Amino acid sequence: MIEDTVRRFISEEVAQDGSSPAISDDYPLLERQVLDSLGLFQLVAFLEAEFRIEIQDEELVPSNFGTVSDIARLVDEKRR
Amino acid sequence: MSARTRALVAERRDGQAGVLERAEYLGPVRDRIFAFTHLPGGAPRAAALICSPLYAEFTRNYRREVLMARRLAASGVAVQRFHYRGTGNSDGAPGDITFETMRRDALLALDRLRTTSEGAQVCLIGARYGGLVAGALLPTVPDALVAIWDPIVDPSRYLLDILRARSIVRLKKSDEPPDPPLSNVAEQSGDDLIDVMGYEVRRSLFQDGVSSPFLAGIRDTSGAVLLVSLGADPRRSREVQAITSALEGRAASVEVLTCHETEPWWFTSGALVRKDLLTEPVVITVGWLLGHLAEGGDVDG
Repeated sequence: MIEDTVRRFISEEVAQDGSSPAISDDYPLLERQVLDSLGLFQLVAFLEAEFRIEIQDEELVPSNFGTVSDIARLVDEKRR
Repeated sequence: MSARTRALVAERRDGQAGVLERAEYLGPVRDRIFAFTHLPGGAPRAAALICSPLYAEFTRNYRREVLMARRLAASGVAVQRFHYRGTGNSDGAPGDITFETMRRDALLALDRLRTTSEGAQVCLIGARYGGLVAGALLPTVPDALVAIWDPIVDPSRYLLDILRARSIVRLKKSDEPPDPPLSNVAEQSGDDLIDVMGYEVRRSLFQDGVSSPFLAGIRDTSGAVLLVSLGADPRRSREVQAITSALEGRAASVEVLTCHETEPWWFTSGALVRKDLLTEPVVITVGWLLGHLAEGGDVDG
């Protein structure tokens, strides 16, 4: 599942301080500051490499990166 | 030496390390670049020129370059640092910077280094865009040892990464509206100035032709090459892979080493205070250079 891949990357690679809670699909990643700017940059690079998609700058908006579900939906749409 | 010239030079000697640090301006009046020379106590065993990156990356890397220069000088290597015109303490305006002015500034600094280091083995060290500048010097010093931190191969891709950083900063401030579409900015022609996160950037710095002297220079030289990746970021890894592919079959060695911590470059999150992030690239590079200098000594000796 896309959600699991995204969640694993966030938890293991980019979550700030390594103290992130269990991240549910609708946990607010930006509001709760799970992702800092560098983490977001790394996440976007990861998504592009992992799912072979290209994310446009205009797609870098909270509605696409607010939660794991938002990210998974974006990836899913890009892959179609 | 006239009083006016003397006034442009300041020196400090570190008695413990036996290193002399000299700050001075090089070049003609009103077109000077600011330069630092780090000279070991005895005759230098090698001479290293550090080509800095630009803009936010210049600031992020500054302390690392100072630490590296001091470590190298304490190990007997003369080191030259400098500010490109239009940056730091040098003359000129930011919008004046072109790849050619950067190459000329680096040549001026290299000339100064060679004057002070008595024909020692030259090492070129470049970070990010500074790697492209270092590569463009290789026709002048084809036997140089080369170390590049987070190299850039595709300048237009690099610009898109910087613009992406801007978009991500906006994304974090979720109450601000998103940037207008930026995806075509790097592809537009012309040499106008564009604003990138507060920096006035000349578009020609990010056009494809800039990178060609870098790859050709490295391919044609006889010295060993070190590529240091500051973190395992997929984009940076792709740049490193592109270089190593382009250099396949080259006689001298190309080594790739990756740091544990990821350098954020365009993000001022305070991550540089992490000691490993500050010192790991320095330790890797100094170790590699001194190792190769020792090997060279064995072969020659």
